[in-house]
Amino acid sequence: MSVHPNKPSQPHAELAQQFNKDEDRVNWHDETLWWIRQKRDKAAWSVPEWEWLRQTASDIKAHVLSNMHDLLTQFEAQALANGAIVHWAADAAEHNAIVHRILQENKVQQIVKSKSMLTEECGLNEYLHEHGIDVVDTDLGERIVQLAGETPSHIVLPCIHWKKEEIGELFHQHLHTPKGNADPQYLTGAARIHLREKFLTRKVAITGVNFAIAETGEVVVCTNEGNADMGTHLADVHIACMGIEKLIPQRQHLGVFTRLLARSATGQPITTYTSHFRKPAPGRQLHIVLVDNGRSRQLGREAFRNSLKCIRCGACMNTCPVYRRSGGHSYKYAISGPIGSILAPNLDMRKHADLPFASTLCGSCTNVCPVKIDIHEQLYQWRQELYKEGLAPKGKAVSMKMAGWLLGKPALYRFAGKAARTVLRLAPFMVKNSLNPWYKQREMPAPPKQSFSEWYAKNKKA
Amino acid sequence: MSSRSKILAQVKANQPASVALPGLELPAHAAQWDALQKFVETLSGIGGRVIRILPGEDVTATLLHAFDANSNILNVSATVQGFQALPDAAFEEPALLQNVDIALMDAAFGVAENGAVWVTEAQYKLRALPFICQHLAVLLPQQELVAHMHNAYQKVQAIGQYDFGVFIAGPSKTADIEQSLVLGAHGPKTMTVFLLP
Repeated sequence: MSVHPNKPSQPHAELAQQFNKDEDRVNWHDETLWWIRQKRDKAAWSVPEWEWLRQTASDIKAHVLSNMHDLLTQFEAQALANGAIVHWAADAAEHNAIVHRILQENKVQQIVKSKSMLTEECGLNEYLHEHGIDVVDTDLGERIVQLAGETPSHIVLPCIHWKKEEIGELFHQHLHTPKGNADPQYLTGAARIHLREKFLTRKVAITGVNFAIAETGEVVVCTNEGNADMGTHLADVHIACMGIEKLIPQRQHLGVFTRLLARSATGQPITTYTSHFRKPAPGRQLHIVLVDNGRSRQLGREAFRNSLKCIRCGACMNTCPVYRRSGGHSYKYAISGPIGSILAPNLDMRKHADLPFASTLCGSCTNVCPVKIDIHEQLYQWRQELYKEGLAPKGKAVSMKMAGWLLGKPALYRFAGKAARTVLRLAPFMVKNSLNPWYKQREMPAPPKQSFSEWYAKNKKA
Repeated sequence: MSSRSKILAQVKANQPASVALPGLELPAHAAQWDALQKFVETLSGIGGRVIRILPGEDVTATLLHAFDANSNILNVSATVQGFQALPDAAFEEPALLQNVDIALMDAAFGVAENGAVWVTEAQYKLRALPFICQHLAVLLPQQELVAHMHNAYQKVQAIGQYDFGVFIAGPSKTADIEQSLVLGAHGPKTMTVFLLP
């Protein structure tokens, strides 16, 4: 594989450059994601009230964010009344410790887990592995990246960067499928047999949460594969891990969100399973872990507050020209792409300072977001924050300073323009070299013979 | 201070002034469908199978005809009699259901816009059943169809409280390997809805 996530020191641009070395693979990655974006468009346009749905979803989430304290306590009270056990985790470390404690209390060392970006954010798999717990990810895409020792590169499509031949080889090594068999139907069948054995024998199942309803204390989990349900209903203990922003006020609001989620994610009218867990099954346990991990801080940052409306559909990634051509691992964070580039700096501004710059600010992400988050505007806001904090990438900070200095001196600006035009004409190698990032993968434009000021001065008389 | 108090205090300090909830009345230009036609079209489009039972038709005979003769059918439906019953031991050990070929159950209603049916644990008795079976068969009266998810949740409220409830739209599926759609990921490989007159 050409992509590995465990190089956190490298900036996005360098990792993207590595991803771009294999041009055929990049083109394939780009086209696959664009195809999913097109499926999303078709699904969205089939609903005439789509824009009403987006606005309503955004407004419901605005209500949630502005009433989060009361909704959280209401949710907790209802969940407790339903017989669930509610835990609160201030950060990733506490979340991981809570999950580990539940496993110890139940004397369990082998568990199944369905897709949960929160547990990825918290590094739960690594933590449990260090404590001798065997975690099997049961979403097919997540299982594939897990067997390969990677993390998901996309929140909805975890192994979107893998080719079927590579998956065939991986399964040959780990699941002993015949060498050279790369048929998706066959490989999925092999994974079904491999994972069924895990579902049938493991006593604790972890899931994420798509929506948590304050009114009823229930959690809703959406999957296509049925892995969350196979895991939880065959286990004695269900641990549902959720960020505190997953709340919605009432069950009827699911009518809005379930119409938006799958259409935005993959172009499906709804996920195959939309499972509503209100009470634990008789004799079994339901734990709900409410995780903050920076969310309450983001709530207080007015410019970035709306990022907490995210329902994790992945539409902003599928449409993003930078994501499609740089791959999810180049973001070095569990949530990649445009929305991840807003969420990651909230957790660690220094570590993720490069991400808000990994965007053209074209606004396509904002246009497809089902809850109308102003994604590209928040990325622009982050850049300003990062300049203020002195954390902007060095090259960009220097060139911006120089541009500001030059633009403040009209005479010098005119001279510099003339000089640049002359240099491009007479000594193009001064610009067309590897030191100039604009020359990478691009031709420089032909220099104009005169500046606009010169042209204007000459033509206004005539 | 406990994490609970800490989180709640910080949320309270940082949340903005309260914004009112929006209304949920659909706009005038919202989609309208012939519910029956749309349901059949949508469920078929996502890999499900729809079989319409005509008035006076023998449901059991049609059921048997729809599946392989060697299949074992576990029936928790109140609409038809016969077939295998849910074994008591499965409540303690749901993994015992791993060899069920076909699970047959009643659905409360279906949703036209996405082909989903609503089933609750109270109706089908054991949570794991519609997921662990190899094939899922659902009986649904054709007048019990709603247009979209807004109506669906009104109906859910009207039916009453549940411990576990699920919308199921077609067979379990995945496209994780190069976006090639494969039906039958971890749950049923097929889903058949029998529409009752």
